Amino acid sequence: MKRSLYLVFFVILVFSGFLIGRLVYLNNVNGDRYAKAVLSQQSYTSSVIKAERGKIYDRNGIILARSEKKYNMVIDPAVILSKDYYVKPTLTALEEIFGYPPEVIRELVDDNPKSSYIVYEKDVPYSKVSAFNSYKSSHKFVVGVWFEEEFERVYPYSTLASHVIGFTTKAGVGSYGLEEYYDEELTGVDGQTGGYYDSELNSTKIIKDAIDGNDLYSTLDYNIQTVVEEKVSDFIENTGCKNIGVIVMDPNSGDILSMASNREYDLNNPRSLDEFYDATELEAMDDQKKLNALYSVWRNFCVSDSYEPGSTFKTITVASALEEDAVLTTDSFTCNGYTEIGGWRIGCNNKNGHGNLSLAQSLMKSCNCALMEIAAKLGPDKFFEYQKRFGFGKKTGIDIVGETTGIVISRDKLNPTELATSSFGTTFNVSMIQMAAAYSSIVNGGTYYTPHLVKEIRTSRGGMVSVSDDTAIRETVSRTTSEFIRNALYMTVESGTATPAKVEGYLIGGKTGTAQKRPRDEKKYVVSFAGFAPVNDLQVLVYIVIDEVYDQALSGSSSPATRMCASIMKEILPYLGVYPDGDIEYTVNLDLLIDDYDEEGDEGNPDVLPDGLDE
Amino acid sequence: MEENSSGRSDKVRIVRSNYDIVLIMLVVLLSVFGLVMIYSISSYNAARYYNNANLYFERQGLFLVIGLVMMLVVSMIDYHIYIRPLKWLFGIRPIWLLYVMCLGLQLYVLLNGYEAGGSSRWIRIGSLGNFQPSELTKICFILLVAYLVQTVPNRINYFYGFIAVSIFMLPLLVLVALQNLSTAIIMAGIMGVICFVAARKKGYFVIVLAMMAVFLVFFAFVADYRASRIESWLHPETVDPGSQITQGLYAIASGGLWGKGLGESIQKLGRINEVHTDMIFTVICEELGIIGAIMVLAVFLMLLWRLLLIAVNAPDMFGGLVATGVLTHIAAQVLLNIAVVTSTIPATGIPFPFISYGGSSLTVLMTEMGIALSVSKYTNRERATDES
Repeated sequence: MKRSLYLVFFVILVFSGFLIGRLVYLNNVNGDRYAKAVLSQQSYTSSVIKAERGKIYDRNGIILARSEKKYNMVIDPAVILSKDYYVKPTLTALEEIFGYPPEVIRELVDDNPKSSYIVYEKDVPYSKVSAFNSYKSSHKFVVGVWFEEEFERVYPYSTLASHVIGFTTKAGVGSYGLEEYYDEELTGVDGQTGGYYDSELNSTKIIKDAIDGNDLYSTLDYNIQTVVEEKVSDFIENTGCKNIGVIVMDPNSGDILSMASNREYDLNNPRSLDEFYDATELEAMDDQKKLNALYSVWRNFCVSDSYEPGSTFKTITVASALEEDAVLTTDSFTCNGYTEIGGWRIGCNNKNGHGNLSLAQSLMKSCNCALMEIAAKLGPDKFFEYQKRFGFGKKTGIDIVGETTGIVISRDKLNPTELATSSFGTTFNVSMIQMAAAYSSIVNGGTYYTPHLVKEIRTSRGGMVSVSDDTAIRETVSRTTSEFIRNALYMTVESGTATPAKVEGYLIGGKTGTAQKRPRDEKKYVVSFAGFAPVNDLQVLVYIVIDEVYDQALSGSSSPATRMCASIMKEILPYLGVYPDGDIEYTVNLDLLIDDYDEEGDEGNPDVLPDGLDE
Repeated sequence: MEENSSGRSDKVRIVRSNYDIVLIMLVVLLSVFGLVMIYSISSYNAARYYNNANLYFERQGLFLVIGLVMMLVVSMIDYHIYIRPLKWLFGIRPIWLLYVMCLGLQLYVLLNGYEAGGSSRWIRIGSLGNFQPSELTKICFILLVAYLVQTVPNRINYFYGFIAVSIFMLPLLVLVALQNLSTAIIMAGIMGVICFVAARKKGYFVIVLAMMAVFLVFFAFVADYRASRIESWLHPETVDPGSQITQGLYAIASGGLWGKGLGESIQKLGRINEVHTDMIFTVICEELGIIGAIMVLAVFLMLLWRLLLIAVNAPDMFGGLVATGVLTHIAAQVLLNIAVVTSTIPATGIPFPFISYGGSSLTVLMTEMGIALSVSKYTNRERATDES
């Protein structure tokens, strides 16, 4: 018995040794090949059921992005050649259903006898796929041809709202815009099929179904976005500029209705630069240059770039001072054309001076001297506090990637000169989205809403995942302050610096801005306009920023921005259900105005800082 | 048998503890290692599909505790009790009751077992999950074969003796084979080895081996529905790239000498179906490499060596044959499992002892170890008595 047991143990040892040898053999002979197979299984689609990426809708249910199922035909020569009697039926089947000449397939198979994965045709129509599969089920020697499913991201309006939507990489990962910000929501969970042998030695198919990604219902309005992009491209064609950004938002909820800029790119082909450079330019670029060009094309000007806001910021200074009772609506200010602060002589946009101005007129005439006086009364502590309260110097939290914080002057560096120049929006940087959100809160009665682009997230079957209804985050100013600003900015459009923004039959308010870019001596300007309508029943806010208008005659004037706002308002107000009214009964409290102001307007004159003040 | 035990007792002079501590330590080492591997392998999929990364880990831990308790309890029971006629059982030997019970259970699962994985071989037992009676049947089988052989120690020297034993075991073997062929093959192997060890004339085992070979070839190659499986055994990548054998080979081959490191397996992330049960060895190879695999195998060989010592030192033939059966059972499962995952033999589902996830398998193995420990304890007590 003892000896038999030792013999049994010896046999076990021999088998163990043999199996260890087998392990070593597998590693040595197939190690590299199998290790690579492990790493390359991402494309080993035979066992993966792809999850469908979620759709992106506009606010009215128009599909802005969706995924389409495509079938790719894969030919597996190794299997076809494994038995002589497989070849002919398979070639016949391919000829009968797809019309491929047998000699061509034969040659392909013979040239790659060891291969198991040749993508022979992409995007095979589903009718052909099912025809082939039913043919195959009745011909059992038709082997080695199968179809892998692939989802292709499709953007039906190619360039529409490209900076908002973003695109997806070949691997299905979101890049830029909503696609990247909401990548986790949009991406589903892939399923899997696989063979499994149970102990009864039967092969069982295991299927784990894919879970499709969630759908985004954005706040964008397809029609408004189309109007805005039309106006932008008209301007680019007729006048031209370096950059332009337009934000249309609902000031009563923070919903972004439209966000557009020049350089809208084709989302279906995001890596093409053909639209932006001609062939010879492209030829001259190396890969790094092309990549940098692409980065600048993909960049969302409305949230990722910052600039000095200029006079549009004056509204915020006045609202802050009024809210803190540092000034009263009945106060008056005197402008001599310049103010001396901290040893600097800072000029007004009207060199001759505006004379006596009321608080409302300081906005209507965009008077720098009055604003410097108001900011001085407000004091640096409060000024800094209000900058924060209006959301400057930090991200607004809008649901899109690449938001910038802008740069504000810190409290300890806010000495009288910086306070004075900051009062009319120079020497610090803001982003468009920050300005649009701050303006919305000033004119809507004082509620600051986090600007946002997605209203709802739903599962592919329509179940609610989340709703963005909690975007009102703080109060910035009181109702009375808000009402005063609305009226003052209405007067600015009626008879102040922003008259080109007038639209017949509508009550429109707004404030212009013209800021000189650094270096100051290059005389390049960022012009902007923030407009809202109707003044008595607020529906929409439009904020436009144009960076470096190419037309020299217009370069320092805010009129391109105000005119564009008027043309946008004219088209979108009726769409939003606000129709022009022939005879509008609307009177602003005239106590706010002082009668003897200088009628010699200074519309469009840029704000100019003394040389070297902020260099 | 008798001359062996009397010739041995005067050589041993040291009084050892009642338990084979080394055997217990090896068992604990293997099952705790199994627990670590199960956590490493299953946490990703458990978190993904059940929202609880510890799901499999916790369940296996629970079964390990149950199994250890069972092992200690069983080890305290004199192993002769299974074959002694008991007065309170009306003079019936418990082994026959066990035999009838196993027949009943196998018949029950055959008729209306719970469908899991396509074949019915489970019985639901509440929150503990599903119980697989064929595991319990293995214990019964080992005890019964050992008992039958030791009642007729001389007849087993001849072929008709072996056939007689086989006829007794045939009903159980057939019932198991109808649902779970690989378990039946292992059981047949256990029977063969026990008879082989017991027989003093071994010539007829040539015929037994030949019969088994014919039987295996018939089942593996001739039966039509298995022919395609042979194809996928010979060409795993081309026939079914998604199968767990192919993916398991990728795992083994990508491990290299030292492996990718514990927890670093790529293949476990959903590519190998049932990876935490029958395919667990592939991920051991992927994460710990050939070196790790050899070390696991070495621990098993040490365990088998301890069982061999217990069998050799057993005080009587029954004890020795039971220990032999346990040894054969573990050796067969280890070797066949590795052979399957390395695609050395056609695929079949055999769990890796102590390490694969599975409550029935673990607790039953632990019970078997308890019986082996009982044999070893009995030996030591007798020896101690001899010396005093």
